[in-house]
Amino acid sequence: MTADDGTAARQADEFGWVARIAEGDGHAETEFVRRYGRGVRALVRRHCRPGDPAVDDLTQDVLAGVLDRLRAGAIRDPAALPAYIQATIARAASAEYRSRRSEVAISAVNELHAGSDPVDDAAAAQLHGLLRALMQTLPVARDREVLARFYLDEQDRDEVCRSLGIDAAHFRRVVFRARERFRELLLAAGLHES
Amino acid sequence: MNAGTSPHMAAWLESAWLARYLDRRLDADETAWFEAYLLDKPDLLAAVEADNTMRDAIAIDPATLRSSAAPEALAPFAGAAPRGAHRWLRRAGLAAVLALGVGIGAFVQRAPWPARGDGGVIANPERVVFDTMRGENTPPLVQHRASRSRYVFVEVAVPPTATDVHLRRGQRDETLVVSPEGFVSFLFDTQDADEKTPLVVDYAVDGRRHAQVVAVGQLTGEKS
Repeated sequence: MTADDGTAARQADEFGWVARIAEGDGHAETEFVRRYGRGVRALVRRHCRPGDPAVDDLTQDVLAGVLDRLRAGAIRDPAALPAYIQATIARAASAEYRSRRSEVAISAVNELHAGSDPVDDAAAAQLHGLLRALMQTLPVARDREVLARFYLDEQDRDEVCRSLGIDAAHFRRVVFRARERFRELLLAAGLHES
Repeated sequence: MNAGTSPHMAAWLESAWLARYLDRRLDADETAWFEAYLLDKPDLLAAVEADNTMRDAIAIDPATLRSSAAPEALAPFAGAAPRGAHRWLRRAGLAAVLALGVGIGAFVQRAPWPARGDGGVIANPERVVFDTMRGENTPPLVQHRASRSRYVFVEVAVPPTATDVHLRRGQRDETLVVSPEGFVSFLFDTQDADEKTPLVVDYAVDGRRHAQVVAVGQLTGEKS
């Protein structure tokens, strides 16, 4: 078997369900959602503003749109499927924000959360608790400000470093430790996604 | 039905990509490529989801983050890191050296991944780790490449207290960042291999400058 044959065989095995979706196999559609559903939602969240309630709708739109293309047999190179999905996510998020008549400030998005649903309220309260726990591991005000500028103000690393007079290594340490600690807190609280 | 995921790149390289992705240090093409790559990888998705959730939490309650950030506490400070951080760096650096350079390493300030057109994204280049600070006299640790990349990912251990680290070659001069593991790293283009012009990593420790020479020959196939 040549290297090309091996690659083709591996792709056929890895993406065999793509062809089966075009043939109307419902189980293959389940495999598609099982394989990419979590990733699509994670990336939709990343492309949206924090806490945007449109995330779930956009996730559904992306999965449904890609599935329609797969059913139609329009994706001929299965190996290109991840890139196609990523591009679909980016387009969907971009279209969503373009379609909104005026800029929705982060605070306004948060107002949509507040008091809108008991489950949302509980989730917000849990996140608030986790954030407070995270803050206890960041006693230095400047380190908190690093996180605020990077995540809240969406300043890039160089901008944060320049304005706070810190170097990139310090930035990395603060953000890296905060991420790791927050992930531990999520796990401890049973709030991690799976 | 195949329940697996698409192939992974080397773990150390994947971690480096992830760190740069989360730090928003990838350009648009690199971001699109990496997002497509991580779509079906639960371990990477877990890290992205945690970062997403932290961002959400901060947005929900920005006051918690900023309530104690008094202006005087935010005054810029000189130098790299506080003394406590240096102590932590020292321990981390020593651990990394003892572990023979398993550290991921931070990247140089410029975009380390050359533009597409050379066979696409560098999925798994050769990796050369100078895990002691004795320079060219000590053979480096080499992880052979799994791709046809012409680039070599080079990591060099420096003293944990090193500051103002530069990579110099001829007239070129780039600032490097010391990773929490005590390494600086950069990509070396083997097609730019002028062996007469050495690569020099120089840095300051306690106000004195030190230089570490990386022999180009060790990066271009004369490593043993």
